[in-house]
Amino acid sequence: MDFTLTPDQEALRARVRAWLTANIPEDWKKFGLSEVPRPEAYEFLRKWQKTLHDAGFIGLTWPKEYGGQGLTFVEEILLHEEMALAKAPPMLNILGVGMAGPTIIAYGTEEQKQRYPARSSPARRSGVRATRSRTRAPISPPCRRAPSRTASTG
Amino acid sequence: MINGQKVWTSLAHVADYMMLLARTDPAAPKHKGITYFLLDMKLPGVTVKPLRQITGDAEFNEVFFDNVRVHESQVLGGVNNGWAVGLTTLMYERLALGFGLQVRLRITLESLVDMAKRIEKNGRAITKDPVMRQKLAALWIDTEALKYTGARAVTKLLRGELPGPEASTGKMGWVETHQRLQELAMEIQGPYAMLARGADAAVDSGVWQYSFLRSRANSIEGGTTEIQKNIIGERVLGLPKG
Repeated sequence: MDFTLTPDQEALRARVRAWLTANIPEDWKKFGLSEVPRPEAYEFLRKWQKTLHDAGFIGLTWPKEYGGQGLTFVEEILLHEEMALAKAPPMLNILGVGMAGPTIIAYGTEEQKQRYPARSSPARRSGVRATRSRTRAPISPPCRRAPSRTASTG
Repeated sequence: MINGQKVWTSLAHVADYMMLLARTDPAAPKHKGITYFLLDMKLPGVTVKPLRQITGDAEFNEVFFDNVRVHESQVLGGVNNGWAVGLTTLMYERLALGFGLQVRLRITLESLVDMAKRIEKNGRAITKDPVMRQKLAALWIDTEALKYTGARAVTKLLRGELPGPEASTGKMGWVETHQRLQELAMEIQGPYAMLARGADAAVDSGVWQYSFLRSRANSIEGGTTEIQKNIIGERVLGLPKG
């Protein structure tokens, strides 16, 4: 398929990149930049997820009425790519934000949709899954560090 | 009422809720009769026991359910419909989360090359050693190949199709490449590979020692390598069930 980004998606990428440059906390380095959340970083990562949430970067694919941004997979992927490129702290509650949230949006009752995604987003605690092991089935599309228009999956 | 146990539940020790797939109709065929719950971890009868890992951290847990009474408001997507609901969760896992991982793999490779330039062996930088150069180049080739396998997987998902065989080969390819990368990080450090965080002479403050040990879990988490091979064998190659 064509991975060319739309102007809006390019704009989002630029905005995410600039925001990350300005907002990744300096003290993140002392946690060793680990992409896996380490216990000593849990409190730090809770605050980080709140920061992401306040900036509107949590639940991009969720509808606006349930606390999201009403965007598509492409924007979600783009956000994760930029976070990885910037070596940003991971989302502590990625299981809630990345897996449970979208499933609730897809299958939840109105009451569940009002309740759970909005609760999971500020990372009051971290969500969890009981189904399988960790959440990362690592499959992913191409991408480039350079701000090329055809870059990634977008 | 739920009874049973589940080993390896990431972050259960700090969670408010868990995604729980439980068998609710024992008489139904395997993939039917499962229900997806958004389970409140504070319900009576839920016990969480953190499991200490080789890294020293305890991020995985074993969760026990003893006569846990669950209100129907915690059922997601209907009773006995858990298979379909669970597939949605897995699709998001592969798409959004998997993507970040794959990008991080290539960034980790950049860090590895950077470290290799700083470390000397027999009076010259590791990156001047022809055997090491070949190993680094092989990792680069594999990460590029993974990029395109990933592109195929995402293309399917964006078209609204279910993950196909490329999802399993992509997972296995990522595991194999990442574990090999972490092993090479230890080899490059030579005797310094023994020094972890806290040792004055540890390379890069010991971050590689943690990531090397953590990478051993990759072939279990997110669908074990054995399961992936079964999927490829049965659904891609059409081999008879063993």
